[in-house]
Amino acid sequence: MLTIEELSKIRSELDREPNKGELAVFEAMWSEHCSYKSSKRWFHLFKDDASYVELGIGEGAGLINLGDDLLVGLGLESHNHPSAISPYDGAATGVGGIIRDILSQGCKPIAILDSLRFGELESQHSQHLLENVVRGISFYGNCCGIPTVGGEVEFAKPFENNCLVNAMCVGIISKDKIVRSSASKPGCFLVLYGARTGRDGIHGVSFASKDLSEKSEEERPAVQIGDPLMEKILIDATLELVEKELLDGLQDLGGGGLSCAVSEMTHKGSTGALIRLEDIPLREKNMEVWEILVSESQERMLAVVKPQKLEQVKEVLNKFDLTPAVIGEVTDNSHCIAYYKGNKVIDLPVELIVDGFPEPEREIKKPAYTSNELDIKFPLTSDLRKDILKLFSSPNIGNKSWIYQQYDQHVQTQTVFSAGYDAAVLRLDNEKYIAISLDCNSFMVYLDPYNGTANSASEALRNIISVGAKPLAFVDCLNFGNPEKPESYWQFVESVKGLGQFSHDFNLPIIGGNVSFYNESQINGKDERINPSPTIGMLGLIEDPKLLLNNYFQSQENYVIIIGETDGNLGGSEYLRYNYGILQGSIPHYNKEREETSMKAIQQLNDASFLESCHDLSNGGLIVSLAEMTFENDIGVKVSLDNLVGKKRLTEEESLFSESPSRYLVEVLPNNLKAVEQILQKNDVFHSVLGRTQKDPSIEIEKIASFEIDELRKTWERAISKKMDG
Amino acid sequence: MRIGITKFPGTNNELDIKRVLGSLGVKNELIYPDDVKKMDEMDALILAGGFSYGDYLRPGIIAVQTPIIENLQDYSNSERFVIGICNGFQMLCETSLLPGVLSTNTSTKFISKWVHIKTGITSSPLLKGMENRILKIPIAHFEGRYYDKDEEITKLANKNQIAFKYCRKDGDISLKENPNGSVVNIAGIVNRKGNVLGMMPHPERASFQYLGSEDGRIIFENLIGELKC
Repeated sequence: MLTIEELSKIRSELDREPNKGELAVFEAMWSEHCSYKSSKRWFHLFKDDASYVELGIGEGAGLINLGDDLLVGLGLESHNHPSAISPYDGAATGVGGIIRDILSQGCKPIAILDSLRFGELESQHSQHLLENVVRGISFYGNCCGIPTVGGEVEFAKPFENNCLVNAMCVGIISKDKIVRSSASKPGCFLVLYGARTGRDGIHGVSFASKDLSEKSEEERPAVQIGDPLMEKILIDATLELVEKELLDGLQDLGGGGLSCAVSEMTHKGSTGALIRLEDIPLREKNMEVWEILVSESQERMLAVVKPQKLEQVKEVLNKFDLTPAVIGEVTDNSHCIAYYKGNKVIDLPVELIVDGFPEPEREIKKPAYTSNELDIKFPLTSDLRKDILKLFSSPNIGNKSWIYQQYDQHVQTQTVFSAGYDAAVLRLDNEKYIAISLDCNSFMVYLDPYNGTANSASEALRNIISVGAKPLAFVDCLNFGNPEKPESYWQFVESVKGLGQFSHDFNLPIIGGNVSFYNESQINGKDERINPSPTIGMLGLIEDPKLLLNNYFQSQENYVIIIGETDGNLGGSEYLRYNYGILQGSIPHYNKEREETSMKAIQQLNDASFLESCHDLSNGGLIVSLAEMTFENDIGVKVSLDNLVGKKRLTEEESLFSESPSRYLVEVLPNNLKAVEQILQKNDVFHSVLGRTQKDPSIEIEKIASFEIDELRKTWERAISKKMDG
Repeated sequence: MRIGITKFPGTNNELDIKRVLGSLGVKNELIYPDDVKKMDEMDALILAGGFSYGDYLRPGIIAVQTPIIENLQDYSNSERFVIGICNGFQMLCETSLLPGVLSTNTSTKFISKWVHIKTGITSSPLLKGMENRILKIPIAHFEGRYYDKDEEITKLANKNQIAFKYCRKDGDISLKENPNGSVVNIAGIVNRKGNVLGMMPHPERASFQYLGSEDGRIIFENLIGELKC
């Protein structure tokens, strides 16, 4: 809904009353979802440029040059509200939308990753959502022939009524074929192609720009319905149009529908548009003007086509049985004008639609919970063995194959590492390898949005480093509560500051993303807000296939070294949260120097071919990473925590479960140990030789606990599947 | 020599097969649903996987109403080779060029993962030299559970038509290694003449070292070898 302030701005700018259709355009375009009216003001904190950035924030895909004019496109978007109401269609169309975003720059979509958040898996509602969200993603992505190669999932109470579904798409295009989402040449035709326009997804962006409530179920018509076969045909046809260089501009019809695509493209091109609404192919009879303008029916693209190329465009689209509709022209009068059967029904200045909203005041207040101290007395338990087993049964720690085996991971025959590795790795046709990781730790962000967000980004960085890649750039999806509530807005601002700091510290440009506010609801009069969840999708490049690093132990009798300092801080750890229900206090702080030192150490050791395998430490801490490294090849390990050096004396719990950042585990051949240690000492890298891999298929932590690999692995493997399949 | 690869709306493995054939130096062409004439010029045909016509109604059922699949009986009668992979296998069963049906996985979920399959003893030139060989290969399907009546399965076995069975890494064929509930672990079959092969696993996804396996490549090599004879 438009605010009173917004309405009076519209009236005074137009100097007349807007009509119903025009109001629908403003409601869509000035919604939080389309306008970024609460968030945009902070984006200056982000590093957004680098020599290899071909296209930054602002269009469907950010584009990175890999060095030989092959570009990688990245996009990341949320589809949270629709998925909460209608998980199957909501998730499916979330995937569809991000694919078309990538396609808008002409990119061939080559991979999908998903970041999902639900309530605790014990809840039947969460099981229902997980089941159907995964089915929706699987149905849509698989059918489109794009592999889903990675992602992440978290389960926690604050997501019970506000699940998060973020989808990331990766694409490729050669530099000379880029298409922009802009209409810069008056006289060009506007050609709509793909599915017909219907009544689904009406006011989808407005729905996404308010809190969910018990009544949200009634807004089901605001959820779009997807048709992946149409999407696949749309992809094939668009790639042919791009290959033949027939397009002068392209944008998908997503949030805000036609009104958004037309106004954004003409705004970027400093032009205007004249549209004839009766030329839009409709799926339903008697649709009203405003419905046609803001319908979010899926699988539609709007192309800008030069008159002399129109026939060729029609020929390609007809070949794919996609009826092209010439719905209007690009003009030079900087207005969006629409006629319906001869009557002028819309006449609005482009600038006003896209950028004219009054920026709302937003207040900031630090929530009281962030000042609570963590007060625990060690030892927490007399049975650490039992504690470890319990941790491995947490769905946040356990194996995610129940989810990712439902996704086609190998279509397009480029998948080198899929889900289950620290980062997905794809081999491109130019024989370069790219790595992609999608991460967030919402518990850390909740306790301390600034440090937690920078740590989440650091985790994405470590995942990229752990497969031997060099990080290049990233996209973000900022999922938060209601920005009109000061404590929620504080979380957002702190988080963005942390992300900005990280991007400058590591010289990593942010090239795209999305903000999703209003992920909260009022349940029985009580506010339920999500953990703030800035998800980070990072891209890395492996220049030489020899640098590709495995994340699993490769052979027995090798040394296992931990790189980076273990901070004895259990704040925000999955161990305290899952095993003891404690989520409070301060978290391990983001530390640029430490993170960078560890990163460079791994890179240097890998360049010298000293690493047999490498795995980052994150959720669950040392014990989880150590065990995970044994799972793939059944190679056991024996370590002693006495060898773990810290600045202070660590308790057993701190050593095993601390999630302090900037740490990796590496596997080194015996005859390389000396050289490796020399390098680490020379560069002042905090490290400890923890122990060795072994033939015996067991995980032994001397003096603390010992497990058969199978015992831990079974618990870990069934953490999700047991709850879903019984 | 030219090999045709079928491309229906929704087919999505055609470029992967092209990549393998290209790496083997073989000319290949995409065959669209109405291209009967072009199809007849091809020395062999590969029905690529994916979701032809969105798998709407039932996988493969709409594709088999198209001119090229209606022509497939005549095409295969001319002794030319036809390989159907995944959705292609589903089409071959829908046309009855191969017996049996492919129904929904017992898990009622799409399954994408690496599996092992053991090659049977058949008279098909496509599987020459592969007898009892274990292949590491990915599957990706929702409807891959092969089913036929007991007596038909017995016939398949007696006529040496079982091309592949799901197995353990070491080749042991136990029900535990059956990912989708296929009867007697069947992953692929051939017709009596041995010139038509249908399989659910994707050999084109196991044809390069960097993908984690080259075990599937031999099927394409065998095909090309036969065409050269």
